Amino acid sequence: MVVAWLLALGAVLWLASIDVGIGPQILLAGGGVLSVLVLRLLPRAHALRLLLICLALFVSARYLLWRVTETVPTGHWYEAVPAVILLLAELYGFWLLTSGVFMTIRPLERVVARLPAERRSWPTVDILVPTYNEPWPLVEATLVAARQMRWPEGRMRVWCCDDGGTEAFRNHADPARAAAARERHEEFKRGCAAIGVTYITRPENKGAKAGNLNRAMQSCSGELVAVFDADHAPSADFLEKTVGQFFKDDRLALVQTPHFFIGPDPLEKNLGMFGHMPSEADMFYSMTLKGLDFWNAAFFCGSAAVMRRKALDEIGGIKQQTVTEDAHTAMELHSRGWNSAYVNVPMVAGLQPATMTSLVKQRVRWAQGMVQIFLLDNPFLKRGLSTAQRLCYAALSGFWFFPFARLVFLVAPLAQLLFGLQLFDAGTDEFLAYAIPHLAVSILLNDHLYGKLRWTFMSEVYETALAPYVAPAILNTILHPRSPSFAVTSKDETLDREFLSPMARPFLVLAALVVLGVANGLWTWLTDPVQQQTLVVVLGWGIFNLWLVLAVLAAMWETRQVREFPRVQRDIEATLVAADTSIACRLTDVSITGAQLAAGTGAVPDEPGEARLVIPGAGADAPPLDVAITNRRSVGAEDLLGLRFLRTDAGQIEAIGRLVYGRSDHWQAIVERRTRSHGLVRGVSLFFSMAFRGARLLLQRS
Amino acid sequence: MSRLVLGVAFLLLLLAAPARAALVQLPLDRLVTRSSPDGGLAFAMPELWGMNADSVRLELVFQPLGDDPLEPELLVDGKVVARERLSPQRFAWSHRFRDLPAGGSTVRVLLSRERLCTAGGPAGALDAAASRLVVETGEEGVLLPAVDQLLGPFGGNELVVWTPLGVAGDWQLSWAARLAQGWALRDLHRAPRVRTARLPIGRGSFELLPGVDTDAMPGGLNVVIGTLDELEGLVSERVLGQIGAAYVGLLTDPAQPFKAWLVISGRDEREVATAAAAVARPGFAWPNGSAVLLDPADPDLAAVAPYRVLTGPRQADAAPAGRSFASLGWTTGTWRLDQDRIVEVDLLVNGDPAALPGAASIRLNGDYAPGFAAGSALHLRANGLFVGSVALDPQGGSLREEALEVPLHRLRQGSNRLELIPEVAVDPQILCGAGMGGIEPTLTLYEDSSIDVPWLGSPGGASDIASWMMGADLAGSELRQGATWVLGDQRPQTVDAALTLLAARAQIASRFLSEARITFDRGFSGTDVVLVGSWAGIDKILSGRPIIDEPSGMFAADQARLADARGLFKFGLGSAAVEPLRQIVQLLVARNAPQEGSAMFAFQRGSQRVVAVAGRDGTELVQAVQSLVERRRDVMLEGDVVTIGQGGRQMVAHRAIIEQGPEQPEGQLQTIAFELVRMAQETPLRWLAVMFGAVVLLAFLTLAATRSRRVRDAETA
Repeated sequence: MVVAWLLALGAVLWLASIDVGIGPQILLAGGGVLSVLVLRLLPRAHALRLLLICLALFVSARYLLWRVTETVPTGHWYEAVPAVILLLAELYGFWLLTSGVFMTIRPLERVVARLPAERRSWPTVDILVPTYNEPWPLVEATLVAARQMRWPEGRMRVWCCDDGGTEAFRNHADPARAAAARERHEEFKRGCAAIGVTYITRPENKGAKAGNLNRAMQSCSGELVAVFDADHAPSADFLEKTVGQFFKDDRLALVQTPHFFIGPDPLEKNLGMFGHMPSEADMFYSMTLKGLDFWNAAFFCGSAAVMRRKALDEIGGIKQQTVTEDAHTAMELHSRGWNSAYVNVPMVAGLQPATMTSLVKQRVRWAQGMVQIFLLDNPFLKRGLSTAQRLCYAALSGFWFFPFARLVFLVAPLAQLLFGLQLFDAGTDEFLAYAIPHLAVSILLNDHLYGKLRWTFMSEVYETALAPYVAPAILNTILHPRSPSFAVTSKDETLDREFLSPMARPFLVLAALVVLGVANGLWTWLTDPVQQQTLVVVLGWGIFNLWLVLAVLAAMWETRQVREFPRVQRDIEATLVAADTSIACRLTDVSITGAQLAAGTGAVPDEPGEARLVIPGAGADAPPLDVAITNRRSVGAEDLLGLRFLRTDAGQIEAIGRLVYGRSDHWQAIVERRTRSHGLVRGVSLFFSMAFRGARLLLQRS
Repeated sequence: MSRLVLGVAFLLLLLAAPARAALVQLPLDRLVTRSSPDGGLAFAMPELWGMNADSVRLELVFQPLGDDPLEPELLVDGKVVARERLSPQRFAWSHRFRDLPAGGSTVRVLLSRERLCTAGGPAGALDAAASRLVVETGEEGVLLPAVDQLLGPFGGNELVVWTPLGVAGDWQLSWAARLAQGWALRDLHRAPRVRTARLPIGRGSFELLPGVDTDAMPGGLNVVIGTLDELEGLVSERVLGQIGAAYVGLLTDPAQPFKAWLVISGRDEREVATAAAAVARPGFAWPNGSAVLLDPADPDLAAVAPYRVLTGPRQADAAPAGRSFASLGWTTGTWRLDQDRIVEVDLLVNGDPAALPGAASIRLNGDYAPGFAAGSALHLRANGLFVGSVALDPQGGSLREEALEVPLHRLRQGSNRLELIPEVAVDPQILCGAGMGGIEPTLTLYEDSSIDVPWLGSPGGASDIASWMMGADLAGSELRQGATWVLGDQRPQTVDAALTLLAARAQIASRFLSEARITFDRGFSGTDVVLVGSWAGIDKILSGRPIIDEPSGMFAADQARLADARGLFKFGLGSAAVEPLRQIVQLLVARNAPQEGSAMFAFQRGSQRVVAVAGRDGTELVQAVQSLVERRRDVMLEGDVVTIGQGGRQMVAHRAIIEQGPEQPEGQLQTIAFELVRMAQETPLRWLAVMFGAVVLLAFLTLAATRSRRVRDAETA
């Protein structure tokens, strides 16, 4: 079958290389585009999906082969060199497209595996929650949620692995840091004891997160190890829905689950799109990992995963060689013949970086780590991996070279608009015959495969925003592969004012250059008819880049974030007991620190003060929650009350944890709600509206 | 469900367009046939370029004479390939050829002498009007107007069936051949863009060597453009020594009076561009035989240009008088007139006779033996066109008193070709042995035969060429002697400058550009192309509007822009040239690849008139271009195909039998619709079907490959 497939692929590539002439090419490419459009209308059967993919890639392959063989100018070096760079960027883009398609060729809809009825046969599990600098309330919420996971008594133990209170920190040369570490150490020890969690720390911080986990594993002996980041609170059913996979496959080393975020990333926050459009992570967790699962290449994402201890012991624990210890560990497991699985049920609720600066810092680490893997433990050279696994890991590493291509695409049109350099040698008719169909099928294919999970051009916005910062970091990693160190991403930041992120500076310069280039191009277009046809393509490209940069600038305008812990939408019947009066109300949102209630106008006495909140649906043993009414406002026929949880005892803290994080179906509903297909046109119009917003913000506040 | 139906219906619609087969039938009476002494009827088989022999068949219809069976034999180049016994009731015979030589052949139908004598000769035995040569092209027709007329009595004696879809049309070819053609096609298609339209010669290559290049160049004006260094081998030291700035020189050579060279040069590229821009100006003119040095800082020639005469003295006017054939390089010879022999004489004519009344007179001096049937004649063709005949007496005789007149408009300045072609029938009496047996119908033509051409005035001097350059070459859409652009520089700037100049001339004149030579790089596999077409036609193909729609003043307003106007040609001319060139290339690949020699094609494409010349290497191209330039405008008609044999000597006019295509409408929308229909008709649908089929196969195999046990295990509880 593989030989037949390769022969067919070779034949298709050969056919794609045949020049049939402009007219036939227009018909061929047009037929391809139309076929793709028609296939999009048909039911989403796997066979039709594959046909659509093959058709689209065939059209794109024809473009690329034409592009490589026909369009590179060879006149002057100062045109040829950038032209080749542009071509390489395009080839890289095509590789991204094809590798993405390869990874997601057959997304695996893995079902939750049942656990045996005999609970005594369920494995023992150690829950590891590594922490470094997160505040206790944040870690406490995760630990409490972990403690509340349903699992037989005595077969689960929760560990708080504190790297912020190590001996090294407690004895730090800086007295202030040492004091803070000691204080943290005591606070965490005390807190853990209060909620029944084992606190553990170590002498020093060697190996960062991986070292922290490995040290913790020396102290625990469960058959399985579950890892949750400090801000990733699991739902109660996490183990029930993951551990069953280990009973189906003796060689299963890893079960990964999605990371669900209850707060926006900076772009979502700044653009006001959180909850209205798919989160950036949705595409990865709802498509890519499912595709990787098909190839047995689903990998450890650092959190929300369960691993077999025996497998980890075989490879010497979590890998410490790179700063993406998770993916590296998974690759090592795969190379030893262990399997992985991905259960696409969101069961952890986490936080995202609040500012562009933090986001960039996080992505730089990911990029550096994946590039480190590529350089230090290249998947193509690693023994034991299957071909598909090699390709998947190479594609995952290779993805992080996107900043170079993105920067080339941003700058390339300026070469002609400002300096008159021609970077491709093609006629308008050839452009129409080859490039336009390629662009069309690429957009259509992406929309078909990922349209529910990533709206049109949103990838471009994210990648453009990151490109100027990730690119130098990658270069540095290439030059010094062992130098990157683990940088912890802050998740608890708040912003009390709006401002233009300092990360926007390069884009201001770029916007100015693009405006200059487009203006110059338009002027030339108007005054020099001779160049009109030449300029049409590159002007269009420049204008698109302008939109893109403006959209990025809009996303760079940091908006306020006053809550350290984001509220989660709920609609739960509740009773507020205040001044000996029970008032029926609805709980409309909640976090671990507070909630909002909706009650009838005037139903709640005006006097501010403390009250008790009873939630009937929380279970008979759920204690009432002591709350303070902090504010009140009327909306229509209702009063909206702001509550702060007083968290007076461990029972209340656990109840709040259950209320906020207990049910995974809440997260599933949110994901389903925001990952509906939005349509190509609306996606594009959103992109343009973002650019308008960017332009308006620049004009208004500059 | 409705979506499914809609999708399936669309896909069916997409794949529905069937290929249209073409059947070309050529009645034998449209072919020149000759009876031969051995009792046969002979005719020339067309060259079947790339045509599968199986697709050619001969349908013969004999006259039903008497009760005896007929036993005709079919000979190809003297070898019996078929023999048939026909009963008196069955007098039709269809034979499908196998192993036909691709390069053309002579086919003879041989009957018994008795039968021929009974029928009164071969012409009486065979019903030539009902007999046909049938060629199945198996491919879509071509969108060219029908051509009903043949080129005089000698046109159409061979048949070439052609289509722009050569490769796709030859599916009967072996799979290997198709693969090879596919690759060749891909490589060939790489070239037709202006950016790569560079002359495949470099400095020091043969075409730029003195004594070779100028001879090889065709008559008329040759524009030579390049830097001083690059043109060193082309232009004499005497001239080059004078160049100290941007340079425009109109050079003539007394030894080659029908050629001129417009040299556009300078010490560097910038000066070359300046010179080209200057020539492109509307008001640019120069005195006879002069060169111009341009001031790069102020190239306004009207004010500052210093003139220097660099060429030699103008050639003295020379009125050609009567010349013997011997002076034209021809010697006495004797020919058997039943064979395919053509008497050829090359005649150089000074001056331009096209517009003059009168005629050149040819006096033939020769003898011929008896043995011809009545109606036999010796035909004279001038530049491929019939001009007159001399009847041959069945009793034999001489040609000493015979004179033929060639109207001057049949001649033209430069080289002319005269051909004497016999059309003979064998006297049945001789054939049937009634007498004079053993006498062969021969003709001897003596070298003192002569031709007198009236005095035509001054030969083409600098002034004529200059004025012609300024307008005459742009004066109409008719094909005539025009400019050939030879670039000594392969760099794009030079190509751009030359093309800028070319376009500017057309724009300035507000007329059609009748002829331009576009050359291609080495990637063209040694095949060079000359494309002749009207700007109007090219415009129409491109966008339905003029490529240059600015007033001509735009070129005067900003001359520097001219040199940088690469975009215009990159997206204008280059694109426009692609389609007709592609057709030509496909023709070459399909028809001419196994052939020797070069070929010229003329065809009508919508309102565009395209003539193309192609050959496999530079030498053939030069021959072909020379031939094209030397032919009169009324020789190359729509559908005319001329093959040129080795050495450029054997020029044979063919007639393409072309299906009627739709007329190109005038409206913009109609034009778009027309172009879409045309593209659909010209598209090698089977190629596309193969491509889509392969993609579907790949998808199917991918589907099969992604059905794994892992999927079943994971997706079931």
